Amino acid sequence: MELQEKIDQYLLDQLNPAEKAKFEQLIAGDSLLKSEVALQQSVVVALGNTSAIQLKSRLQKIPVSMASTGNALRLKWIGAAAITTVAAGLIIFLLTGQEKTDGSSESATTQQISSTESKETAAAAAEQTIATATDNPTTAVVEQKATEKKHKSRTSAPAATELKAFDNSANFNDTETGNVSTPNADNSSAPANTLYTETNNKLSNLSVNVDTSNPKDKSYQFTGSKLTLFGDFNNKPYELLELNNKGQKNLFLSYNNEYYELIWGQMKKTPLKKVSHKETLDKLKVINP
Amino acid sequence: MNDQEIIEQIKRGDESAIDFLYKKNYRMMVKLILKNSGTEDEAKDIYQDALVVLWQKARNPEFVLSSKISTYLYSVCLNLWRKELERKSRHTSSEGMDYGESMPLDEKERISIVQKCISELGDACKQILIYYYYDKLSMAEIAEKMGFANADTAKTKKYKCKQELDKKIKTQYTPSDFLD
Repeated sequence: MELQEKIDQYLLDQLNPAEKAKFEQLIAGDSLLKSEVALQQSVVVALGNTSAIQLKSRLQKIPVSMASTGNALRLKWIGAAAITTVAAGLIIFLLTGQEKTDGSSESATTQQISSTESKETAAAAAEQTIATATDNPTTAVVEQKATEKKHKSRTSAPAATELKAFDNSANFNDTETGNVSTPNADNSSAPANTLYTETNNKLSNLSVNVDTSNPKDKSYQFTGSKLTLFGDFNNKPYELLELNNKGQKNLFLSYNNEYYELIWGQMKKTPLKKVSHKETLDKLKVINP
Repeated sequence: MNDQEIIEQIKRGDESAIDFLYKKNYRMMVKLILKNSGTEDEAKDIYQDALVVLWQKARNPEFVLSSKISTYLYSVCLNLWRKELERKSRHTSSEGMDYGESMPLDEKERISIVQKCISELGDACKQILIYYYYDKLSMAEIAEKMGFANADTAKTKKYKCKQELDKKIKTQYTPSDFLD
């Protein structure tokens, strides 16, 4: 066997213990062989470094949105302040109106009306943000989530609470649900920027099964809380996205730079249909740039 | 795609899994560094290094993920950043002295010489040698990845590439450069 081949086998750990011990004995007694092995060991290390450089250079080319914390915080403050003002104005307006017509009517009714109003305002604000923030998709997502939180609380949540939640977002723990990527244990693996990751149980409870028996067959099927994707989906990463479209939550699959709409609860095996509607595509690209 | 599927993709050498992770956890990892006195560029660099660590570890057949990938990446980022801060502080307190690296200087120099020679190889040669010596792929796997007809073709190509590299190393540098 050629010496180089033997050195390769030694370095690649392909020798059995007896062969390895014998070769190490040879190395110990031959300074030339020792320096040759050291050189070849350096080749392996240098190739590892080259591989790391190549991988880093590949990552460097991926467009990612920078974590402009300051900017996002400022926008959150503005958003929170605006919603607080609008909600407070509505409550005052409704209370005043009520006093004029029925001074002693139940405060519960007023509360109900005002919360409905603020809900609509919050939803409108969220849509507005999405529509105008195409130059900073990440911020848009953060903003919509901020307004959504207020929407859910149905009152004007204090801006300070929002600020605290945002500041803690980098303090990672397994149950984190801040505005940054949430490490999900669920099989659906909702993407970091999905708008409804933290609010929608349907998506987080969904388990995904991939059936690759027919790679050319691109279809899907729901069975209870299980989604089966048929086709060659193990080759490239896929993501499930949920999009709020005028109050209705639609589910989409992002795969290989294409988006497909999934109909919740579709029990029949259904071919995947690419999303072609421009407005929907734009929204999907905002949450999944 | 869940964590296990991602690890399986990495084990198969599919770099798109790393791209996916990079995008998915970017904001969280960058924020971690930003909140610990780093800049955005430093954060990006550290996070990319953490992904390289995951890539290299996960390629090992014995690698078993005992936590979520994001947890793993978070702790690698934290450790790398801690080391970087220590390195920075050493540079400030004792200018010009670099005793942080455990690798002997002559070994570092030798690797640097070899690395320069590798950079002079063609892309295909570089890749074949990485696949063989670093990723420890079989000739059949290399043939498949490189689009060669069969394992024998891959073996011949690898042999020629290695010869070219050895020639570069040994003609450009004297043996004394490699003496321990």
